[in-house]
Amino acid sequence: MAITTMPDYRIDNGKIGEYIVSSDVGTGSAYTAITYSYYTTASNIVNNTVNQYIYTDNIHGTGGGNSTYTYKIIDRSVITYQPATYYYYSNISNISDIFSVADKKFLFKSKLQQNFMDTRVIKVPRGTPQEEKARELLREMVTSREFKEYLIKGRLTVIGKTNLRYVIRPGHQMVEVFAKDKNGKYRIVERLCLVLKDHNIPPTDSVIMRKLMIEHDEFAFRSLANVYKVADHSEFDQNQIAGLVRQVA
Amino acid sequence: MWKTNEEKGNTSMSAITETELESKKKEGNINFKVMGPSGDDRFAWDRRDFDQIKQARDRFYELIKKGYIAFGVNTKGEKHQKMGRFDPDAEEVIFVAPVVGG
Repeated sequence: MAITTMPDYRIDNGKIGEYIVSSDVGTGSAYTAITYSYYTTASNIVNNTVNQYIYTDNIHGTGGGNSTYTYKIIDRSVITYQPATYYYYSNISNISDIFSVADKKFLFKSKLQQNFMDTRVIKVPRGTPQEEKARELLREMVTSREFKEYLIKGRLTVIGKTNLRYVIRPGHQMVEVFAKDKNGKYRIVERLCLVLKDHNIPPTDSVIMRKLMIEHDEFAFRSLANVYKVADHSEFDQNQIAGLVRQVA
Repeated sequence: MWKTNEEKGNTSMSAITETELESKKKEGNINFKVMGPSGDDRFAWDRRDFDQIKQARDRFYELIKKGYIAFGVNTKGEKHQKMGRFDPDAEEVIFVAPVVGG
């Protein structure tokens, strides 16, 4: 099996819409086909480029048939496709009709942007199939902007009913709670630890669990979590802190 | 203090009656998404089928008993409200695996 890495494609200039690419090899006819299995998931789209890692196999035989796949450009930052892995018997020039190849100038600019990002953050690496499945679920629950932030920076910000801001990271990392200080700036006030009992569950499922609980049952979340106080409550906006204390009590 | 519905004593199978179930039959499929080591396992059931509703109800309370927390999209269109009891009208239910303070 040959492994080919395709050029990076720009997706920022892709036309928004749904593209269906299909081919027909004609049942019963002899054919030479190249099978492409694309591993293009939302998680390897960073900085407006998409990497297509393609595994190719040359197949000779008879038979054939129809094959169709769909690209959906949602908002020029995230692409989904159906089915997850697909094959088609034709050349791949169709992709160029949708996306243009990222030139050196574009890649340099993207890299520069990446270097300016917060260096403390952890980029979420491509995961196992289970982890990818969990990310797909998260993708359904958040906006594309939030999802992109999660993939690039490895964190998701959720605002609770008390207006406290919770920064969630995958796996067993602690949740950071931010509240407004007396100058109106958000500062970390405490760290919370609440994890899934089963350690084999993908890290992104922890993010889903925390997001759902903070948004819909903040009281339960805070009651169950171990709380580690980081700053003196007197330094913060007392309206917000009052909400926090009331919840803990 | 957080209590599961079972601790509160209201997760028995009779929490929703057969009559209620019958009256809540509506068109369409519902998805259960259950967190697990393999990502989320999905179970689809048809709310037009009374047997499937009963099976789904059993599955719901079985998971709650195991410590899962259910969040469903309710009929008002509110996303992922916490569900203390089975609701055949919920559009989709996500079951969060049992949690513990770390």
